[in-house]
Amino acid sequence: MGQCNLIWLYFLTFLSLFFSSHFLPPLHGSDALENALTLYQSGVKENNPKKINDSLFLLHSLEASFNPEFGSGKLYYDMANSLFQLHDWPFALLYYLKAEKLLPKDAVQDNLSKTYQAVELEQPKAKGRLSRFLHLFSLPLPRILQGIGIAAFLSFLALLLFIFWPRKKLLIFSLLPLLFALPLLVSAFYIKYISPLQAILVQGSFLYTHAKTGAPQVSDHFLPLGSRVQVLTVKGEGRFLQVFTENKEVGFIPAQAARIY
Amino acid sequence: MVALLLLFSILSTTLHAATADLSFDKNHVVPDEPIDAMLLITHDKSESVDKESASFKGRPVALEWSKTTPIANSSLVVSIYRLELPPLAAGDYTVPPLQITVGSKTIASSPTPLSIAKATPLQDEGEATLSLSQAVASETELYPGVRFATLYTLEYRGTIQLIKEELHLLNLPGFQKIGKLLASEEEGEEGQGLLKTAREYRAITSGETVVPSSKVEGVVYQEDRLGRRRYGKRRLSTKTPPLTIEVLPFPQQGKTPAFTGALGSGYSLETSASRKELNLNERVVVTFTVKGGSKSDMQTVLLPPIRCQVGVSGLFDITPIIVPPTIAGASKAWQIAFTPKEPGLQEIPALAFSSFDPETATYATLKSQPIPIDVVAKPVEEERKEGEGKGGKDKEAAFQSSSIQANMSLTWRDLYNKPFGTWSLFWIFPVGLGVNFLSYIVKQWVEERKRRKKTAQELFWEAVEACKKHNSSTFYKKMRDALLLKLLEEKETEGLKEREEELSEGGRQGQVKQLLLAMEEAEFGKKAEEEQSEAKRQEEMERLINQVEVLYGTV
Repeated sequence: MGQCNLIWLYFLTFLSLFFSSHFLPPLHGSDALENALTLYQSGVKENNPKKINDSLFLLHSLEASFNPEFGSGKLYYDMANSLFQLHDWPFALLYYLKAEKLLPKDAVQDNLSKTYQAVELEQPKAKGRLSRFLHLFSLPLPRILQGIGIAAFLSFLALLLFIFWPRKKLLIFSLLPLLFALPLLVSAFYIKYISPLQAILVQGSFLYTHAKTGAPQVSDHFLPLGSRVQVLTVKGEGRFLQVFTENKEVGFIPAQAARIY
Repeated sequence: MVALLLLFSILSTTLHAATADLSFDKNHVVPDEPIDAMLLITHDKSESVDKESASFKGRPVALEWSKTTPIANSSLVVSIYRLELPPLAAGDYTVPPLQITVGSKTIASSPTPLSIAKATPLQDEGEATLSLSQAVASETELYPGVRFATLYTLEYRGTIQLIKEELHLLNLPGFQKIGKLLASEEEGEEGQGLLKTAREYRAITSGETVVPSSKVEGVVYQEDRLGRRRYGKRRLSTKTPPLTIEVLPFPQQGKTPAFTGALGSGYSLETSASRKELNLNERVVVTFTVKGGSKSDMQTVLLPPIRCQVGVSGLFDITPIIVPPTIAGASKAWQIAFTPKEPGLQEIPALAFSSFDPETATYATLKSQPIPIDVVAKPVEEERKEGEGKGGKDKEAAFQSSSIQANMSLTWRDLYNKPFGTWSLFWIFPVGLGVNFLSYIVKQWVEERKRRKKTAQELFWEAVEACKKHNSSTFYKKMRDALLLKLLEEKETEGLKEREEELSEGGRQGQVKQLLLAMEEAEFGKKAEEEQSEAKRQEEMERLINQVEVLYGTV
């Protein structure tokens, strides 16, 4: 009886943690989401930038409060739409790219390619085969982590059952989820420790040779708004970023000119 | 000594070959303690010193670069490194050469004589004391950006040479150091010496930092008239308890998007525009000036995001002109270009700047006065011509605005991170392993308790019952446990034995061992032979019961 209770407790703890956000009561400003959507829709319908701007302000406040970096990505998508309507192309691009990392594949592609057209930049080519494989074909990171969590839970549950009812099948079953989770673990490790940090330019900038104001330019090539760069390091007490550009140049840009996503 | 070696190094420049010299401060070499040494390498500045290649007695040794000094009118430089050599007992030694690669060559230092004085009991040794205390001082609670100081006070009596210092508060990782290390020495009220060391920091991010215990060790010494030291035998040691520095996160209540980390109070905000009348798509430069008061920390003041402020996005294009601000006294000023996108705009809206006061843990948001402007639309004909000249980009943009995919319907769930979808998920591994391990321990404990509660006789009758029910596996298990427990009850064994192999061959233990082996043979040896019938198995169990009864009467 006691053994059954322990297993039930284990199972229910996991389920309640897993679905906790589904039962959380709304916090402050419960009307904010609805207002933001209404303002956005009427702003687009009436071609009224002020209303779209107010909608964006509400969404921005929600982003600052909740910071859903591992969420569904829908908030970032809606913010990007508002910024697009306000012709703030670089920030629209930034938020579409943030949403792209969290939403299912292709959900953002249409709007993203239109934003690239608006900033007159060529949309970067798809990732290489190895990178796509390591990102598990653009599976969002929270989904990868949830997969690892479920596999680990099943594995530990089977191990717990094995402790109380020692059957060989249970021992094998405890190893199966871990085998399933292996590619997910490799992908998570790659994303966390190996995959380079990406940033987007929200102000055009030249590439400089040193991390200080007035340093010489690396070349005459100007990095336009919306350019994507890989961030190598942060220098000058956070005021400069050392970046690797798509033209395969390395140099420094002011940190305020770029946003990491 | 160091000066002499430096001089020697300079003289050796005439040879134009890299040289290495090892030196020690002989007054600070204590028996049986690691020896601090200095390595001076004279080499051409085009040659690099590979400090990873350094080896002493065939083992790699860690070098810490101290400084590099150029030699006048020469291409040579002297690179100075610090290192720690293994401890030696008192006596006279010749320190063997240390090898290192400079450029493409491996060079070695000359053998260096070293004399270490013997530790002897000193007259005043018993009166010497050493005591260390630590403090973290801040005027307010710690938040990201708040300055604070750490202080060590070392109280001592007697002449003591420190041989070990682990002062973690002077080098805190994850905090920004401000200024240099401050040190002072003074005399206490009771004549004791006070050595104070302090460092100032700025917190960077919120979170808890556990600072391990700090430790100082020393040894008493006496100097004779020639400056030679004699060391005492007693080691003095003092340490502080571990310490947790907590940097609180900024509270969410009252926080606005205009807050970028500015700390303190007494700020004022001013905005001014370069002109009032302008055409559509012409820019006006707005100067955004933040002034600080006596309780303000201007180092933490950054330009707030302008384009996200109410009444800006969509109506103006924003371009910061000078990214680093102009700093004059206690004020910072940024210049931002506003380009109106709608005709008829009458003002640049009020801009907000928000600061946080750590003393009261509240935010203060300042708003500037709106700046009146007059945006005049260009004649329609002129605008049409310009639009044709640009390839009609604005028209294209207007088309795109109406044709993007619509917003996604947001619910409250979309504001939260996915459950088990963040990096903190990995806690499931230690927790899961812990739960399983705990379950295993609990199971073992419960089983052991159950088994120990029963007597050998009870187990015997349970085995007989199992035999009647033709349950052979339970029968053998119970009978086996009954026999082993009986040995314990009769004090034939010291503890409860788990296996028959643990029993001796002679006496009662030997008899029980024979029985157990016979049971094992009956259970496993014949079980594999599938031809063994149910009746035969039953007969075998009854035979074993008889044997046990012959041995014990009943168990």
